[in-house]
Amino acid sequence: MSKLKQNFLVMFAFLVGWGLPVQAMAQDKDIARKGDPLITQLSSDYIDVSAGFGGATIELFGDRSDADTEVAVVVEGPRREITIWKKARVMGAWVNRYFVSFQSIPVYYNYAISDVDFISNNNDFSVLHNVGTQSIFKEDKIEKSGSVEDVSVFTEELIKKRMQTGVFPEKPAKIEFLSPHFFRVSFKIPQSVPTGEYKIHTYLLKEGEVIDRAVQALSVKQVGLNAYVLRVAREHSFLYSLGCILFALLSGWFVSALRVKV
Amino acid sequence: MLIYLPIAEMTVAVEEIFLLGFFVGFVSGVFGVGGGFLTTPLLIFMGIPPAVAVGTQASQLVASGTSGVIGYWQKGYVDFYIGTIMLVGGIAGSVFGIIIFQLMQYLGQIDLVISLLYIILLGGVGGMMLFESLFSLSKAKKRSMKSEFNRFKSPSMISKLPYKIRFPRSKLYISAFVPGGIGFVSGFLVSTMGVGGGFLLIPAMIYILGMPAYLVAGTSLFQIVFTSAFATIMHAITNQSVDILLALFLIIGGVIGARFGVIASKRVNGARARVVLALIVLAVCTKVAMSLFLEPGQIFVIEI
Repeated sequence: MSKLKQNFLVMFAFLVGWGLPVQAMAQDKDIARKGDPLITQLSSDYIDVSAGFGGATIELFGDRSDADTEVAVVVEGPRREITIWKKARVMGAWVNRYFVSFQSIPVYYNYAISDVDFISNNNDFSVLHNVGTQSIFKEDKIEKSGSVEDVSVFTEELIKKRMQTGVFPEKPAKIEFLSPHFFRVSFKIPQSVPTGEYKIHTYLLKEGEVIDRAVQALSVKQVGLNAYVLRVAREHSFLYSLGCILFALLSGWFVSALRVKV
Repeated sequence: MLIYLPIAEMTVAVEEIFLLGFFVGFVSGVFGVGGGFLTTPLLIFMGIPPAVAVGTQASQLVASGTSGVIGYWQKGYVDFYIGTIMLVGGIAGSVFGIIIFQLMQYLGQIDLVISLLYIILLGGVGGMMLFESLFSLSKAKKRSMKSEFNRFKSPSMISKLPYKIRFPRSKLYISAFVPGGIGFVSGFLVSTMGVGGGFLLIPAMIYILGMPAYLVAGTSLFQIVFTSAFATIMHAITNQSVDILLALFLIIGGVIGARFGVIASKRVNGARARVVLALIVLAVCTKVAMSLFLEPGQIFVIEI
């Protein structure tokens, strides 16, 4: 009897458990039908860095229910500590003398805004959500040489250098409106792109207030032989080094064998 | 053809790496030197991170050393006993080198250290080589460099060091600290600069150890193969800076270049060739020195 009851309970729980997400999905659909203020979609949620990788483009599509809004898109690569050194003469030689170290800077950064004056019109929002290259440098998250007083020179140089590598934008990407509601943005990814998990944040603003936001994840990873080499080198570095040595020994032996015959 | 290097995490042109390997292989074929002193700075000039250049070069030394040592071994020109003592010193030296390397990387001064070491080593060796080869050219005697070296006797201070060991193959009775010390320097050079240091080691073994000249090249190569294999393991584990793809193209280029180099070497005069090698060494030295002492175009440097 108790067993039957138990089975019944399990079955009941199963049905309820099964039913819940269906209900939730139905609710989501309702909202979507009423008009989710913002919907975004990436053309692809991964970028494969293969042996012949020559750069790529991230394409984001979006739909806003209200045409009288502003849109901001931020693309961020994984965050790392970045140090910038300033060289100075010490006993005739130019050596790394002064440094400023930013604790958490995305290795790739790009952004797009719906109008040019966006940042000046929405300053607090921009700083809070990292819209605009300057906004990713947080003053409280730095370490520096004692004698460095003006950090901004270092920040400027860092931005300039990252721009030259193509991992920071020279100017914001353009949000292209295909209709008053439907938009598209594309971000260029250089061939020297740092790998890792990327996030694409989209914000919808009305009169300076965020009314909706969406996040998309993008995975930039090495594939094929490259990925394999990198993984083995990271996870089994001892075996990897033995492999390198074995390869070197064999090619050295091969060369000497050739020499004897020739 | 562009290729993405998995460890250096950058795209390079295969042709460039291949040409670099070919050039260095050619030089080493003509002059019978390892050529590591050219590869590392040239890789750095190409934009490969110094750590990856040094780490990868260590594995390339294993390849070039192996092919060399097999030849000497077959002729019986390797003193394994003294080579093993040097190897013990070499491993200690390369551990020391790796520690210095890591410390300097942490302090952000690794580029400076590599540059300074290159200037001292290349300047010293290039200068000495130029002087010696010009001297022997002017005397116009057809004596080989090895017989020139052999006129020198080992300094008396060295004979006073303790732990003397008899090395029957080399006909030496000398303190283990001497070959060990020479090995230590070599190990340090391999792990910090990615050079085998043959052109420093060979004179040291002849001048200081007083080894028979015909055993010197094979024995130093024997020691370098194992020391650089050890340095490769250390670099791969501590810095993950050994790029096997980069090594592959360097080795292929080097092999082909060396063949052409050997052919070319049969048509050149020894002393004159050494003048040219000395000038190449001094040119690389000058280039490294210029990047250190002239005001750089880029005052700011980024590290991630």
